Amino acid sequence: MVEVTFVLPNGQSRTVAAAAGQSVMQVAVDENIVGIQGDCGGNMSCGTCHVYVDEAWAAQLPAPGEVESAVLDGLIGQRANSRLSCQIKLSAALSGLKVTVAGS
Amino acid sequence: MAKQTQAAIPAHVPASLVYDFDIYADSARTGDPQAVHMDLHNKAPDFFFTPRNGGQWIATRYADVQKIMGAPDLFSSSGTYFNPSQKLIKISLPPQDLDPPDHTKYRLLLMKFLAPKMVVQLEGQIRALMTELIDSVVQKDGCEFMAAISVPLPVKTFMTLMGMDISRYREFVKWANGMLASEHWWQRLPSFWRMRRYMKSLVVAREKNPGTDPVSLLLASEVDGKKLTRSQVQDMCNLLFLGGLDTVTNAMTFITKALAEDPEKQRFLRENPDRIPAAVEEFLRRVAFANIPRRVTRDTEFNGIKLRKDDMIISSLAAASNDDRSVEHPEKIDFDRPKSPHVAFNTGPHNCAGATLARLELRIFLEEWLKRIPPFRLAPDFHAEARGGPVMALEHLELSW
Repeated sequence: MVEVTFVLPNGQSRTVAAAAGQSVMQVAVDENIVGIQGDCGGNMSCGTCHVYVDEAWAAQLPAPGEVESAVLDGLIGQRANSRLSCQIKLSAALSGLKVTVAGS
Repeated sequence: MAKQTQAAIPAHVPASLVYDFDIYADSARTGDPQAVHMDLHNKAPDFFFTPRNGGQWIATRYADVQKIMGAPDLFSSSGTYFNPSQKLIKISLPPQDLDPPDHTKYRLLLMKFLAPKMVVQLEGQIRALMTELIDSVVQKDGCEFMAAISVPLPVKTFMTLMGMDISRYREFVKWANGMLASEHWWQRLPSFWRMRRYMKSLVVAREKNPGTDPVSLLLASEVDGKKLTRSQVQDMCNLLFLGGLDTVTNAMTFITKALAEDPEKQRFLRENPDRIPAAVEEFLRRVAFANIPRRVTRDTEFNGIKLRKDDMIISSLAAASNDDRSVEHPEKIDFDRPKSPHVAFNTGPHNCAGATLARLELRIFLEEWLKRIPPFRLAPDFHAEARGGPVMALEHLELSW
């Protein structure tokens, strides 16, 4: 089990236990985390799974590819630690991961 | 509209999965296309074969549509058609009729001006357009909503987005109506050709005088190190026009009909305009109206059902968005749902590229309409007439207030 903490736009936190191999977006959708929609089912075609990755973890993730970067560039509220959560695949090494829902 | 003839049932289709459903005539029959599609859950297998329109499978469940749309290698967007007569005319609309990886390359170009960062800049202009349209009816005691509001708004929004000459908008509306409202494909062609000819002249004009508008952006773009051809840019402009036109018109119209029938919801949204974004999502779920084709690329199995290469699958986004397996009491419009899971904008890589713009148009529409128009209802003599096919629609919507 991999622990993931979602910080909501209102400041509240929710920590969930998820299975390795899932994307953070899928976990969020399954757990009804407000602000993460995943309209395109993880195909980098919508941008509705936008999160800010906690600085402690951002460097541990593989860098975004060309397509993800292009989509991120078009999002409102883009920051240096913005990611599409559908592209973050959970593994045991990422247990404790903390992301903030961008809500945009 | 008369029902299409029946094709023979292919050998690989078991009789138990056959249900006679003409996605054109039957969708329109009662004037309430979403109700007809939702009723398929009661009348037909989840994934059934109809002999109409050349023979096609129809998917009606949320989970199944997610699977189909998430597997473009098996279920291709190329070579699709809604009925066999469409095979005669090849209209290229990239990237809608492309599969990944090519699809992705063109899709990213569209996102240059359809991304949230760009769309948000249009808010003021869209609100001004909406205000102008409402000005034209606010002093009256009713209107035909489509002609007055829901057809012109997306046409003018599109023209604004593309930096076109808005003074020609009536002509555009005529072409739009010609393309969308005509029953037969041969009736639609003259309007399509006129629109295409205009788009061509627009592309040529931008070649001579490039700006920061989408057409200029596309002309300056590259795919795989090569500049787009004029023809490719034109085809993408055609897609943009068609993609954002009757879809937004129909969303606005179906939503307004639902509100006209529910004074309580009107009152609630007037008193709580901050709930409009959530209401837009729940409305979209309930009135989803598009049917999306895919072509099977090789012999395969889907949920244990044998499919043959080149079988056509139509996914009913109305049925899938009103699936009681994914939403409780789907027929109820309930703004308090914690989530309104739907596929009104489809899902997968071809998830609507204009969704952000559509949501913006719908939010602004509801904000302005509810602010300025008194409590409204369906006109006493209103009788719903609908259209089926790829994009289901109402033909007109008479309101009174």
